[in-house]
Parts: sequence; structure tokens; C-alpha cells
Amino acid sequence: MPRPVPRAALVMTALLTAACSQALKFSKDDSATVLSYQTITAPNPSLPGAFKVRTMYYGSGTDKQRKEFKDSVTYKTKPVDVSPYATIAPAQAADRKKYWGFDLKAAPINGRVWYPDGAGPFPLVLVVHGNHNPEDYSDPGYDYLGKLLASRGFILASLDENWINGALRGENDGRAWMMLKHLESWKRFNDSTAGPMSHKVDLTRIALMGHSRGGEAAAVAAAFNTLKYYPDDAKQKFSFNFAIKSVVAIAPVDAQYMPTSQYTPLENVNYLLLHGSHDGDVATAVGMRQYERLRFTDGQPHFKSMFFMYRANHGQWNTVWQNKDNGPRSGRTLDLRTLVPIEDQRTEGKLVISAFLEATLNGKSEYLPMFRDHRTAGHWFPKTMYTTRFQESGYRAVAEYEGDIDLASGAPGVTIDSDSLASWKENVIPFRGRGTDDQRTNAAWIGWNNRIAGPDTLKMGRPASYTLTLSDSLVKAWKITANGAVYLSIAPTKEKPSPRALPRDTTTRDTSKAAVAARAKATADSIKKVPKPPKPNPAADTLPIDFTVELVDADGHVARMPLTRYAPVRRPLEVRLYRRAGRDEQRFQNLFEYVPQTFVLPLADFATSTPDFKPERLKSIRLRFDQTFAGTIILDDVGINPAIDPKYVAVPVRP
Amino acid sequence: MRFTRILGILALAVPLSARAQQSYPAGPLALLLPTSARLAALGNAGVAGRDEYAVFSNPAQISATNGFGVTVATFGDDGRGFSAASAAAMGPMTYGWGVSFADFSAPRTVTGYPIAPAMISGSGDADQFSMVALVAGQMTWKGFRIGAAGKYAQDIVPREASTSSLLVLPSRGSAWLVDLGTSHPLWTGVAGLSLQNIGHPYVMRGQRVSVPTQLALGWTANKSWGGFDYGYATQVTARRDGWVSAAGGMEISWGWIEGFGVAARAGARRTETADERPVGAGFSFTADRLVLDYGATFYTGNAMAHRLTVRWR
Repeated sequence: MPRPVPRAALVMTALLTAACSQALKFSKDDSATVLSYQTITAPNPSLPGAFKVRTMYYGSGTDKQRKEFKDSVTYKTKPVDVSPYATIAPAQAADRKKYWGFDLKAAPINGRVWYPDGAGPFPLVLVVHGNHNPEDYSDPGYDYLGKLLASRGFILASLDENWINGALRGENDGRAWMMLKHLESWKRFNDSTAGPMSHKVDLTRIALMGHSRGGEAAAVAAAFNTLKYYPDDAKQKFSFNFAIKSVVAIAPVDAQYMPTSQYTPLENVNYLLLHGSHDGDVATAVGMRQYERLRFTDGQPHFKSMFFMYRANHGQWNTVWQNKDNGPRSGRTLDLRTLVPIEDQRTEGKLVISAFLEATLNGKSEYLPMFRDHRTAGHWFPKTMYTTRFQESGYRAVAEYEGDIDLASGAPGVTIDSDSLASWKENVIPFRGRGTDDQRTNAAWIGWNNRIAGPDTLKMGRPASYTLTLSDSLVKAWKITANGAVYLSIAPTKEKPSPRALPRDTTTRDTSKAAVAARAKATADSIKKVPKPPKPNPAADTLPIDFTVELVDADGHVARMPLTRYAPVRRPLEVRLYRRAGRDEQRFQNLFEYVPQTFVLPLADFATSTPDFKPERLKSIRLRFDQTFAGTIILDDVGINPAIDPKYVAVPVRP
Repeated sequence: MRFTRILGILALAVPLSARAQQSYPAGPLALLLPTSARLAALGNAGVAGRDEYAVFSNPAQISATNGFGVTVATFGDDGRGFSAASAAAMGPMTYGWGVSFADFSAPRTVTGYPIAPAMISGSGDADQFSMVALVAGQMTWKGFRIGAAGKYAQDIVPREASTSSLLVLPSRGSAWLVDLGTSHPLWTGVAGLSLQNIGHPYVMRGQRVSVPTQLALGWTANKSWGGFDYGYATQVTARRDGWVSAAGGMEISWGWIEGFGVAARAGARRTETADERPVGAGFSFTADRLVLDYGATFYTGNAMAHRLTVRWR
């Protein structure tokens, strides 16, 4: 007979198991301070509007699995052949056809719609889900957005692309192409003489929105929209040319589809990116690459913005996906206690998306300041921390750190200099994931330590500085005005350089025997007195980072502003996704993501503080590291808008 | 979904309803015994299963776990057993090896050979030993996993029945054998087919003894139910002489954190002899790379065989 299991073994097993899970760890929450402002006085865009909401479905009318797209369609649509843009292995294709009743050659154009009960015409927003269990239908998951947006005068259609979900790769061009085919259907609905959408859709105001793979697909669709041919096969001709004004990417993937083996370029649309720090699916914020790639070249007013929400995950922006970023058993792997409440995450989604669409499709410029500085709408945001990025089409690059290897040069006409820095280099910004994948954007890595090495820990040297100087011709060409603004994008790191070495003064050196002996004794004494240096522990460096931004005009007048006036400056936000102790360290090279916070500093603020300073004669932008004695920052996208639209810089926060 | 559940339940029901009946006598004995705790608990229905010990059941199902499994067993009063298996990938193929032996005793008055499986639960003063060692290779071809194994199996038993306590000479009988197998996803699981123990009869005590050449067909599937995972293992085995045995098992597992879990198992099979009970049971505990499996099989007279497998991945 087996011997009974000793009690000690059971206790050991319990202890072993308990020891494997890690304790909750977060960055210190400063939201009570940061979100204590509310300078925008317009109505809260996350609250329902005045329209009564109606719903409808459109689709093939023959769907085997989805009753709503079989029996309840208001508009019947003709299936399309998506096979040139997505492929499935034959065995898998047979299984799928058996389940869905169709294959990729007869993909249905199915959508569920929330629309305002009114005369219209209303702007049209399409939203497409991403990859998920195909049998757990994802399209109803944007119901909360549909109801909100329809009540505020938008038509929202949530597209059914569940049939392309599952174990597929490289199909995001198919997802994107389907979005454009949906728009073709919407044109027909609008042109029809009967039906609820007859002449109710304003096809000059269109936004595409997508989540996860759908987030990439939305950007790819916007890129396809203006092309004549499918980039990977000219046999597939395009003629879409819809008036896509805006793209919203919720926790998107990137580069799962690479047209002509390149990263998808994007131009001249407004772009909003949402990502959660605790995303258990797309764990690195790869959407930042698409954000970086977006260019404004047509001289029209556009902007792009990113909201990186601390403790938000991947799925809580979809009511079907919820907190199951790793599938139904997410609770075993992911520490779900770290997440913000589902309602908070959806509130943030509603707020930011609604404000973005109101601003870009309805021209409600009163919401623009919250994209420049989210503290202007502090009371509307759920209480957690946000890192935000912003750029509008008036931005001119002063230094983006791409294209050359000269630390002393920025954009053409810009020179860079430094004083007393501990470290200064240019390098790519990494993602937190392991491997060679990175943000594909270079930045300046600047470190300083104003303390002088030695036993006196209070002895400080001159504050270090980093200066970008504009040539006269550049200033003249840009026609900088008093209404201009300076852009900085900054991500503090956890690295703290060592104190500065004391410069040797050789000019007054006494070389007499007595003096040499005295110096030797002093040195020996000082060595005895010096305490042992503490063990380096970069993670422990949690001093808040701040420094002064100095603008110098051609006459030498210097105007100064503290950086923290324009946005919160935070050390990297600590992220631990997994329940198992050590799993995050195993999977990620950093327990945080570098997300540069954008600071927009109106020149008028500097002129007001220093009346002699003439913004029109701006010569230099200097970062003087005089507030926090030591630290390292990543600096990117230094720029100027010579005359920023006052709507962006309205209602500033004055801490 | 319902179909697979019904199939799983039927597979479990078949061996329970089957009357125990003596199989065609064949040897060596090690070819007939479960080689791991998990297999013992699942009614030895391993032809479509996939772990380190698949090398004994179906060479097509070996998979590179970069780990190994070691099993120790106790039979009756003084029987001991040991087995080990592992697999590793090299190029397009996966290679596996395994070794298993049983060391037990029986009364000297016992004359029968081949050894009946239930003999391992007895005791006596005549030592008996049975072993099998094998190497196998597996690859995927047109969506099918295919594999082959070469085996060496041997029994060492007293040369003849004797009541003398002074001298018992051993007699050895061994065979070189081949297994062929294939497997393929079927419905929501995996189907496995293995032609096992292909080889010539061997000579023991001057007599030709057949090897247990058999065709085994099985199906396994794993499902989720709420916070639990459960799986079926089924197998039908047909010997060359027409003896047919059905076997099936089910396991249910639960994990509270990634990498940690417990599982309970039960299985049943049509046994070789009436002295074996048709049921088996066991449980396991998983702690990251370490898996501890326990399995028990039962015999008449309240005798049991206990197997403890340690798997490290």
C-alpha cells in the first residue's frame, strides 16, 4: 500500500505554489494631482448626446452562423472575393467553409449599425475588431461606442470579420480591403432612394477605426484608399478614394502586413492611437511606429495623438473580449488585479474617441486642447496615469535624430551643442519586448549629474545643458511668430549618471615638497572619509524629473519656463503583466515602455514671462538641467510650429 | 462537440462492459505493461497520446519536449519496475528512446510461460525479469505524423519449475521488434494508428513463443470546461490472433496559476487475464517544468501496482 503523503510535503507544495506568484507592484499614482484640472468648458464628450439611437444590420442575408446577418438585415449586400488579400491553408479552409458556409471567395459584407434618429447627413465611422476566437463574435463588443456616438450624431458600423479570425497570419491587408468594400456598400445605401440610410450619410466625413489587428487594418485601409493598385499585385485594381478624414487605432498591431515589404506609410489623415500599458496581447505599444510614420504633407489641418493609459489592457475596450487578453484562461497567466476597472477603460475610450471624432469630423475645436495636454480635461479622465503624444500639421522638425550620425546637427539649419552633460548619444528607442524589434525612431539620450564627486554630497557644479540653435535663414524661412510653439517629446529613463569629476586646476599648483606632502596626506584622509558608494540600483532612482526650457532670441534675451508646466514628467511607468514571479523579467527586457510625452510650449508664455524676449527672433532652444540634479532623458521630435492654431493651445493649464 | 463527448463516454463504457478473457499468450511481458503512471491510470490507452512515453505506444506521437520522464513502480510485495523515456528534435525529425523493465518474483512452482501480466503483483522466491528498450524516429509527411521504432525485448525467468531452493537456473528469451505508427488530427482531437511488435517468435525454454503483434487505433482530445481542462484517451487494440481489447481513460485538470496544476485520471480496459482489474486511476501535480504523475492498477486479491512518474521539461 502507498504510504500516506506526509503533511510536510503538502505544506511545502502550498508554499512553493504561493511563492511563485508575485505581489502587486505599480508606479506611484499621481493622477490626483495631474487630473485635478479641468479647463475645457465644453460638454463632456463621453456622455450621450441628444439623438435617439436606432440600430440596424446589413449583410449577406444568408449567413449560416449569424442570425442577425441572415434574418434581420435592412440592406442585403453582395459577398466579395477577398482571396487575393488573405490566404488560408487548404485543410483549414475546408474546416472554415464547413463552419461558416462560405470561403474567402464569398466573404460577406456584414455590419451592425448604430445611427442617430434624425435627418442627417451624419458622419460615418466604421469600426473593425481584431483577431479573437472566431466563434466568440467580436463585432457586438463596440456597442458602448455605437450607442454613444450615435447619440452624438455619428453613424457607427461595427464590421463582422469574425470569419477571418483564428489561426491566420498575414491577412491584415484583407481586413483593410474589406473596410473599403464596406464603404462602397455604404455609398450604395446612401444613394438608395429608400431605406433608413437614404441620403443620411455624409460621405465627405468618414473615419475608420480598428482594434488590435483591426487597428492596423484601419491604417492600411486609409493607405489603400488613395492607391490605384494593390501594392503587392497590380492585377488587383483599386478605385476607392473615399473622404477618409480620421483613423482611430485601438491597441493596434503593426507590420503584420507590409505592403511591398515596407512598413505601411500613411499621410494626411487625423490619427488617434490608444494603447494600454498592461496589454496582455499586444504587449508592446507597436502602434507608435505607425504614429511616427504618419506625415502631414498636404498643407491641410490634421493632427495625431496617442493616449497611453496606465493599467489598461488589450480587451477591455471591447465588451466581448473583456480581460481575457490571453484567452479564456487569462486569469492563470495574467495578473488581472493590475487592471483598471472595465468601466474606467471604456470611459477613457469613449472620452478620447468621441472627442477626437467631434474635433476631426464635426469641427468641434473646443476638444483640441485635450490632445495637446490631457490635463485640460482632467476631470473627465478616469483616475489613472496617461502619457500622451501629439503633433499637428504645422509642426516643423528642429531635430528628429534620423538620417545622420552627427550628434552636433539636427534638421537642416540646426546645430546642437551641450555643456557638462554626463552622457550624450543618439540611439533608437527600444520596445520593452525582447529581441531586436524597436520603435524605429532614433532619439537623443541625454544624461546629466550636476553633483561634483567627492565626500560633499551637496556640492553642485554648473547645471548641464543641451542647446539646439537655429540658423538665421531657417528662422527667416519659417517666419516664427509670437503665436508659435515649441515641441519636445521626452521620456525620462531610470538611468542616473555618476557625479562629475572635479576639474583639475593645474594653474596654481604648488610643487614645493611641503605642498606635495600636504596634498598626499589630504588625499589619503579624504579616501578614508569617503563612504562606500551605494550599490547601483537604477530602479531606485525615483526622483521626479524636471528641468527648465530656455528660449534665447537673437539679441541674447533668455526666457525660461519649467517643463512640468506643460505636462507631467514621469519616470517610466512600471508594468508587470504576469502572475508568475519572474515571468515579466523573462519575457521583457524592460518592465516599462518608453513612451515619449509630448510637450507643447507656446512662445507667448515665454514672451509674457520675459517681455524683452522676441519670439520672432528665436535663436536657440536650451534644456537646462537645473531642477533635478541628475537623470537621463530620451529626447525626440524637437520642433516648432511658427504659428500654431490658437485652438490647440487654448485653455492652458497653469499649475 | 456533442458527438465527441458521446464518443468519449462510449470509449470509456466499452472496456467496462467487456468480459475479462485470457488473451493469446505472448511475450516478453514488458511489452504488455503500462510504462508510465499516466498510461496506467488511463487504461494504457496511449496510441494517440503525446508525451515522452508515447515512444512506447506509437512512434508517430513522440514529440520533442527537451525533457525526460522517469518512472518507478512497485508491484505487489517485492516487485519493482523502472522506465525512462525522452525525445529530442534534430533537423526535420524527432528522435526518442525508452527503456522499461520489471523485476519481480513468483513461486517456483509456477510453470507457465509467457508470463501473465498479473504475475507481477504476486511474490515468491523465483526472480523474474522483463525489459524492453527502444529507439524511434518521427517526422511529418503531407500532414501526417509518421514514425517507426526498433525494440529489443527480453524475459528472464527460471529455467523450469522447481521446488528446490538451492539452484534455479535462468532462462532467457528475447526478440527484436519493430513498431510503425501514424497520427493525424481528427475532428477536434488526434487519431493515432500503430502496428506494434512486428517480429518473429522467439524461443524460450525450447519452445517458440509468439510476440504480441497488434494493431492499435486510438483517438484523444482535450477540451475546456469552465476553469477545467479535460481530455479523453481511447484505444482499440486487435492482436494477430483476433483478440480485441478496448481501452479508454479520462483526465480532468485544473490550474490556478500559469505552470501549476493538478489532474485526476481514471481509465479502464479489457484486461489480458481475469486476474487483472479493468480499472486504473491516478493523479498528477505540475509545477512549471516538473510533472509528478501517480497511477495505480489493480489485481485480484487486493494487490496493486503503483507507478510514480517524474517528468521534467
